Amino acid sequence: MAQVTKGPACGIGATIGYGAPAGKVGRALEGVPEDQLFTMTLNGREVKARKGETIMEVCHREDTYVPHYCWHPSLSIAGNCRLCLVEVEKVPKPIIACQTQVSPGMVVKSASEQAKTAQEWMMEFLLVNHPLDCPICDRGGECQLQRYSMEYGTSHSRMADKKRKYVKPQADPLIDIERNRCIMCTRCVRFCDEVGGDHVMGVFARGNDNYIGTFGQGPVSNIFSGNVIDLCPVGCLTSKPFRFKARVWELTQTQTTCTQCSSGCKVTSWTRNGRLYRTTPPSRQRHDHFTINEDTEEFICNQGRFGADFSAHDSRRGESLVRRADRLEPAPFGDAVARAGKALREVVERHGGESVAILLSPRATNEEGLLARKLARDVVGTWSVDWRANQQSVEAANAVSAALRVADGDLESEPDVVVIVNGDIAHQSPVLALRIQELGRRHLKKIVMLGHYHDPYLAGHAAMSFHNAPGRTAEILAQLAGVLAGEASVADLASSLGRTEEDVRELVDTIKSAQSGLLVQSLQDFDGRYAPAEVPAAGALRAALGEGWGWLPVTGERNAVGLNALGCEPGEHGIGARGLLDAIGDGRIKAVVAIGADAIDPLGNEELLAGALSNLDAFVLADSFDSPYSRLATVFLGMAGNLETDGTAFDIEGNIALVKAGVDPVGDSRQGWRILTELGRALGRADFGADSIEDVWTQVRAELAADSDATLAALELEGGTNAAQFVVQRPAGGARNRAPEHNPGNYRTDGLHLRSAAFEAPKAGTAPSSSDPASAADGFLLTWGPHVSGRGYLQNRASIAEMLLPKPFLEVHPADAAAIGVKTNQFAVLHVNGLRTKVGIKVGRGPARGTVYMSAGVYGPFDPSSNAGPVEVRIEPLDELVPDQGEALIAAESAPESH
Amino acid sequence: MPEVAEWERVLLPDIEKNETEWLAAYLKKGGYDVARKALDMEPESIVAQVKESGLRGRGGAGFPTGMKWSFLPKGAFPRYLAINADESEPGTCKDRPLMEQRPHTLIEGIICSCLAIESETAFIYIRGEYYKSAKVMEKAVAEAYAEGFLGANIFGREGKRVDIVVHRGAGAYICGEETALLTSLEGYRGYPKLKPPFPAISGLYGKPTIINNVETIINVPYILKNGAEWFKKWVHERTTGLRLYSVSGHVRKPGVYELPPTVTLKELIHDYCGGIRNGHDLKFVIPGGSSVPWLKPDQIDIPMSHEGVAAAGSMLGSSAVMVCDHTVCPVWALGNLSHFYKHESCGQCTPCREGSSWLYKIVRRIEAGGGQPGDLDTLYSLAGEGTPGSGMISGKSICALGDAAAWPVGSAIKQFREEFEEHIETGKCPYRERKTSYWMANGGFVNESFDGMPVP
Repeated sequence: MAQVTKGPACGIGATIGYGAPAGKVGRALEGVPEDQLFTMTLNGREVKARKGETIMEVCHREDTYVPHYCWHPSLSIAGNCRLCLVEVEKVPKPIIACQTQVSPGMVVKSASEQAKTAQEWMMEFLLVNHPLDCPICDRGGECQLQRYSMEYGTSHSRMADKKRKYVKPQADPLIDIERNRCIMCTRCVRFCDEVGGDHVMGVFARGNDNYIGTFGQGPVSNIFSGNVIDLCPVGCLTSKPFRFKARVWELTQTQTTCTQCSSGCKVTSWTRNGRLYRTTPPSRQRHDHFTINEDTEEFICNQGRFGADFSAHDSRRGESLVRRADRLEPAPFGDAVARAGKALREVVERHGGESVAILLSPRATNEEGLLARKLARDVVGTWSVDWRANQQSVEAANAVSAALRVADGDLESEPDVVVIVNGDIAHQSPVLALRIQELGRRHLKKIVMLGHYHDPYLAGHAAMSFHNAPGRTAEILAQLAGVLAGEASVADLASSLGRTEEDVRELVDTIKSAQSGLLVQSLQDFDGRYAPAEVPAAGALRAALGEGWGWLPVTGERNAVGLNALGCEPGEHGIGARGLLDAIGDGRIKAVVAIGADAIDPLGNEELLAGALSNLDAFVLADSFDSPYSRLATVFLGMAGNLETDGTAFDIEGNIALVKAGVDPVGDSRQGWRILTELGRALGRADFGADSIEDVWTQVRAELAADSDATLAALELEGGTNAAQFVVQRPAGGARNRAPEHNPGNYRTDGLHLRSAAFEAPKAGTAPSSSDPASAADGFLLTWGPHVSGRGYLQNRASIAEMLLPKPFLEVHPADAAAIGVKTNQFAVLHVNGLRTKVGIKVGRGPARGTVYMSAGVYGPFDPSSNAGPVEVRIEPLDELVPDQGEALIAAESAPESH
Repeated sequence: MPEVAEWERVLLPDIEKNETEWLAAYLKKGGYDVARKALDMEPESIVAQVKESGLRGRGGAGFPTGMKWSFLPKGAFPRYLAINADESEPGTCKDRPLMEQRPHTLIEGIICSCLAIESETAFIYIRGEYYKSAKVMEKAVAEAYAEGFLGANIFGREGKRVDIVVHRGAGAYICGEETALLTSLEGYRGYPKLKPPFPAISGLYGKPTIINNVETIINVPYILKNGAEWFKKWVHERTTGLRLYSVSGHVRKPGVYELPPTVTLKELIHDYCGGIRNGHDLKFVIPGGSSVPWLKPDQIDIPMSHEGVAAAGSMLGSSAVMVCDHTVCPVWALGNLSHFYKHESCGQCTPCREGSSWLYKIVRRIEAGGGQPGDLDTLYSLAGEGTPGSGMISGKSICALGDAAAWPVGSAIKQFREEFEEHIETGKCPYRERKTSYWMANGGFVNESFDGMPVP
């Protein structure tokens, strides 16, 4: 049932800043046992509070704004800014609201004379050394210090002496640090420690000379580092790509969702004159304008923040092209569509509808997906429509489809136990990983890790972790399912995992005793090589887990859930993306329609694709860029870029959200749904498609949730006041939950296990420890997984793509690293199938022993996923260290040059 | 002038010898007999005796030790004992001779205290600059381990265990603050923790922890040996026992004196320390370590007990008496103290970080002749009147360092307002003949780094 869930209304009043993030801090008291509740007085009002809450949390729930800098709902309490000093009766001095727990009968006055005076004094202190450089500060207009100066401060400063000043460091390519403006709230430090997980920022020096910086003066390395820009209440940390480009009040804000991965984060696009200036977490209304919420818990990753401007790349092409006598010539959109229709009609007439394949980018909206499927099935008459070019094999693609179709888990329900199987989830769907981490860190839920690769980002929060060799995960999952069903013994599972029976019993007890749980499974590791075996195994485990549990298969593709639910797949009859090149080769496919060139780009290298595509009778490409593919097109239809498209898309958990155009399409380009509509009409179906996005949405809604009457506008509640609230629930009983079409038993598994025989499981009862000799000292198995910022058709076109590209590192298990004598940041030569390449080493507990891990698409020409067969590698340590980016900068930076 | 020998001297009878009492000598005197005796006592009865004796913390706050011990939550283990030997309060120098000359008495005290609070591990956090103290303590602890007095089964008693870890600080005053001491001990930046929870509930590594000063703990074996009544022989109101007074400044015989709390400040300065140096008059006294309000000569006829000094408007603190004669410019002295606090502020919370350096900038500017008419009002509003909770800093910060930085300022202005005003009005310090100061050359503003490095 698709329904719009409304959170508590955000009250906006004279003393109120932002509405509390729905359902997080200051949670509603419904369902809290009566014996944990008591009454207290807040500003003369009797309010209910729960045992253990802080004054700040009660104030948040009661819409009473208490000024604060250091306190943030997602971070630990630092209590250092002292701005939230409030008066509490019977306490002689003002105390801080962020840390003081409420007690029955407590009388809190957050705006009394004593509290206001204390707050005013703290503001004066913070401005003692803060430079008055607002006119040249990038934070101007959305600065918490500016705002509080007006609301809580005094109009003048008594400070007459010289202010403290520091030398400006150059530490991070994305984040500008201006220490003179810092008020030492340490939000950034705590963010990197607690959320980013890389512990790279710290406080240096002492007293009034102290300053924030990064250890080793290097960059902030975590993939969420951009959030410290929003967290910073002053102009100390600002965005380098956005610096000095515009004043924030000049920009137009569009509440939309990120189009880059399956996390589907709500974001605000800040645009002007058709150009994207920056992307931030959703802005919120404050008084009469929208601005960044410094207390947002909706963190976004760096790829979403800095990498969303690929539509503005130099290769952007707005107009359409038509091939005439071996030359592509610009043509008006109408002519181009007519020409495309004619070309496709000819193919259909000559070879039948089945000779046409329609491929979709996984970033296609639901509306584009629906129209593409209808175009294929109803107009052209082909089964061959597919979005799964990123999956590296037909089997992997089918496994992903099968898994998505029966997935029934999400994080919203805050499961007691999260079992994670495989996967560098933090780099496939970063914010999903962040939210799983929050479950462990903030809500003290148990995280259990299984599989051959354990996400290092999540592993730090795991209560238990059990490694196995690659290719054995399916077997382990099946055994675990057997143990839970009482059909297999703990001893056998323990021996398969190479762990003690107590360890495994603890795992089983944890799972059994959980009221609710979630099975998170990454499908993209190793190019999905093992997915065909692991998906049925996980399905069986899901069945054994029973009530209260959910299954959340994870793939990084943006709208995988929606396109899967809308049936944009060839099924058993058609030809999917992965079979396309073969089908073109043997003449079964004569025409291809590609909506977005990233629908075909992953299928092979340019040469291979060019060879295949030039054999087509018709190749219709709707895309936004000049590319090797556009040069091969029969007709090129200029398509709107990511910021120019309206529609809806699902995130990996099955929540629908609005994708909203922030700017008009460039040149003569059209939105994808419009192109598909016109194409259908050019093929002779005058009634095809729709005339407005709302009409297409109505069709999508009818398919996914027939009972719903939600309009697109309803998805964007209250003009985007609270972006977190435009969520349509997972459509229960809709297309998503149809029985899988595939019998898992039919999966071809031979040849898919790379080294399962050669891989000897550790002996029962011998838990792997660092003193064990490396299990494969002479050779390692290379494993890999996709990276959201890795090289790709669209990623490469971001303006700062090179900066976002992750550092190429080979992750080695500590015991293996000790055995071959490599350390973190040491260079080594990697021998792969006769090739050699120099890599940096990172020692970590992600990969199982005997395996090494790297992010695919990071090394450029050398990319592990181009290797079809088993990849056995040898590592030869070099006496050379990866140059620390910071070292070069140390010379430029010195200790604070103060006063 | 009463004879010095009139008083029984318990802790420092051999101080003039200036040599360490190692294990053999200590055992000859009957050392560790009390610890053996304590093994047979119920923990509660040790706590009760200490409570009964009225022993109060000697680190500065003067909190009743027995009461502190009884705050430990029942049944919560492990518990830790941390000995605060980070003696950094300016003027205080009493823990150092104790550690350097009586290390085994301290260890015996630790054993008794550990038995009382049922802790198996004690940490001695020694100030980084106290190199010799740390070396002596390390050697003494090793001696005690070798003799079986420490470690598993102490004194051969099954199941009784006391371990001592000697830890050296890295030279930060703030780590003498009990929660900062714990964070430092845990390996983090020496930042004070937010309270509550107090360390007795959640301290070192999140476990119940008792933090006591060296002098406090060293008194415990004497109380157990001689009884609470013996300790209460020396009493003034609620201050009991002999205590060590560190006297420094312009007296003839500065040093550490062991005296009862009934001794008056006047007696201490004029009788025991031989009075003010030749030809000079007393100007002011800082009676309890650098952070307490100052006293003028007419205020010194007070007993040196917590209550006695409080009645005069100051605090006994760590009983470190600093005496200044009339050659001392109070503005300069205040600048010196403010420099200390702004230098030692950890920088964690706003009022102390910004306030302590702001105070220093203003005071130094006044002293250098750049005082402005509104400066005293600003100082007053920042620092208050030298009483807890008044002003913009005191009572607003995470720990008491903010208060410590503010109190001397308020009291100095209160006591010597005319001299501050004279500095501002004449634009120079009457105590020194300085024609053109560095600061005057720069328009009267402080234009010098706090560490003496000029800013380009």
